[in-house]
Amino acid sequence: MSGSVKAAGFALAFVLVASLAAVAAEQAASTKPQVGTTTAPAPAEAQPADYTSAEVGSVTVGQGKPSADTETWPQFRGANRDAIATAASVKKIYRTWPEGGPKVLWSIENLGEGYSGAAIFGGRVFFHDYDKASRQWSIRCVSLADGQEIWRWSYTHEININHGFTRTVPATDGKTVISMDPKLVLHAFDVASGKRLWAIDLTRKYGATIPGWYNGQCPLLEGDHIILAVGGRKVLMTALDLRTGKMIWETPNPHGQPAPHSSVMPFTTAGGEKEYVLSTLKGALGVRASDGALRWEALGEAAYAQATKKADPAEKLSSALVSIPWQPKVAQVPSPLDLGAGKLFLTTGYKIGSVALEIPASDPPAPKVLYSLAGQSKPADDQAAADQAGAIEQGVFETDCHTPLLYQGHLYAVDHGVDKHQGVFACLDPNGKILWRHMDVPLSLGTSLLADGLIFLEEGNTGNIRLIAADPAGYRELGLKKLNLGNDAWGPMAYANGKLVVRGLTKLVCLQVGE
Amino acid sequence: MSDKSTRRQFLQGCARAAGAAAVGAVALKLVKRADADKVWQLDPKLCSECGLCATRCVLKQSAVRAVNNFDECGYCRICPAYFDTTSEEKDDGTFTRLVCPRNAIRRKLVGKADPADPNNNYYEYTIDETRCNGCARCVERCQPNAGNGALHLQVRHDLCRDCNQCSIAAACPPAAFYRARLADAPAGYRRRGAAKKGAKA
Ligand code: SF4
Ligand code: SF4
Ligand code: SF4
Repeated sequence: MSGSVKAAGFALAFVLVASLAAVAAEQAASTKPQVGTTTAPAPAEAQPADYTSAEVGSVTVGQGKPSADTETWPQFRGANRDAIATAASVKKIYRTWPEGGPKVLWSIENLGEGYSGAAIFGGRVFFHDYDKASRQWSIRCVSLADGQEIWRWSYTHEININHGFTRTVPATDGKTVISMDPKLVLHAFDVASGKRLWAIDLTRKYGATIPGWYNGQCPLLEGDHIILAVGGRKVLMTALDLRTGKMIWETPNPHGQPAPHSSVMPFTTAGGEKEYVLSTLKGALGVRASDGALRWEALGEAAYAQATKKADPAEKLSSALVSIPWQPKVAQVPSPLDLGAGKLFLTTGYKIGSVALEIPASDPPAPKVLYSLAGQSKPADDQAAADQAGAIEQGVFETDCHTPLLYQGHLYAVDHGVDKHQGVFACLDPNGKILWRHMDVPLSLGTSLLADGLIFLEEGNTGNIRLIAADPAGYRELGLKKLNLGNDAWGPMAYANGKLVVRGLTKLVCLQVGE
Repeated sequence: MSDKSTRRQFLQGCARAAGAAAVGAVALKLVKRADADKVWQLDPKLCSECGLCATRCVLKQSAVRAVNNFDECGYCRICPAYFDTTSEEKDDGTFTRLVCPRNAIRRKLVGKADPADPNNNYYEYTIDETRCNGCARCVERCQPNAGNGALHLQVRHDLCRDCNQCSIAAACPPAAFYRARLADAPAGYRRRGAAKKGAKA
């Protein structure tokens, strides 16, 4: 269908929809009562004048003392952003669990609903909270020994409950801790005192738009630099100095990439160039780590058409621009995964699926598609045939929320592409072949963390933790701890010194999983 | 509220039945069934959204309707059961096509829009039951994890003829229909994340 015919078709569809809507509006009065309360939650009030001013917010100090633990989980997905614990204590993780599972060391209850997981440094645990009654958003610092509060910094922030209030994991080097709040305000705090050092409101500074369901990006900490996708009118990504918030470099945003739900990830191209990669609602992109130069953008068909339509033919891009058969819709939550050897794995929910790219050594590196996986099962007939043959359905894989684990060349992740998107644990080889799916445990938006060949798998419906052997030969469960945290236990986990910190919708729990 | 309204509808149904009884008491006696105090119900936890509810009912417009459980609904701006998220995206992030083929879902902004944060305003979704025929397309799209499972199907007892053998029940692949006293029937609304084992079409 040509562009203009298609446009005319849509225009006609709009007219039809509009007139149907007018008729229907008159009839709406006869609508019967539905189920549950019809009073929606109160909408947000107008925003305060300036979230970044020095007068905003206050610190309260508690009785907690940092534990003597020295291992760290300094940011989202740990030190290497791969959700793999490598510290010495992983060798002492209990490989067999007693009846009832490992013991709960401490827990913090009645958190504002949310998905903010923990960062751990110097015996301190950092996470975000929200108090509905006072409308206060906070970053909390508690002891890894007993969960007692060391300090809490809070400020008034109007946030609608929109699938939880809090998201994202703070990042810290033990001296400064940074947080991205739901409305795109980046804060830096002094670890010892909880005093706020500086803050940047991305909506004001860069003209970024707060994503639907709020910000989900966890800032990347690399040495003294914070790497952040801002999705602003002019700036796509920036590196900031951790202590001062001063800009180190900025990446231009030629194709209007929006502020993402996912996070910036480190990556190495086939040519050995270090990059920061990101997936957004338009596709994916790579930025040179040394100076922030945009190196490539791989846009979905619609975003590519838009980008090339608007381009001035005289304008010469120094970056590569290619079209790929993958464009997220609604929300892009999982972050890109470095498969090694210049290969990058991208996945997203809403029936979009996954794609693997190769980022070559060329200058600029123009991504090549290695393979694609569909976002939902084949029609029932095909599936029935596959089931009969006892085969594992191939060519389908997507994950809605958490970035897969990569361990010894295999991917482990919750697959939402099959079984009505309930989420089942799966293992893939690096070429996208599904080696197994464990269909018996629905995981919703559950998450996983790996340590010494063991996977802690959290059920998103319950917060229950299953201990699994990371084995491409099959799903092998070694233990089960019923935490019964309820629905929406979707926050990422953290590990240090034999302690696993698990986030439920309204609870933070510390499990003693090793010595 | 739902229990009250369905009970009210049930009582209205009973009143109509009583009127019919006055006219043809003998005939009614002949067809009186053993479980006359029960009605056809469907269990949303078992429903696999196959679409047969819309086509197998003896009524031209099925007695089954979609219902939104507001306690479970997220009031999302982009509701995947309202917008067909596989269609072309508009500049404001909404979509060109709607899921409901009968335009039976009403979308209304709740409160005042926040211009500084247009993506996180609340929207309320209600079903216009004069239009809905229980085709379950919206129910399917509202399934976790895209939705919260707030939308589900229910038999509307003021419309249902209470056939001896419900013809949808006879066809329903996961056998989601059952007979129950309205007052005793569990609400059966699908909870978020609830496993639906053995419910495949
Ligand atoms: S026939 Fe059964 S499975 Fe199909 S839509 Fe109706 S209740 Fe659901
Ligand atoms: S069940 Fe079908 S007709 Fe009814 S509101 Fe949902 S999509 Fe529309
Ligand atoms: S009992 Fe009859 S009228 Fe009622 S839902 Fe079944 S087929 Fe339709």
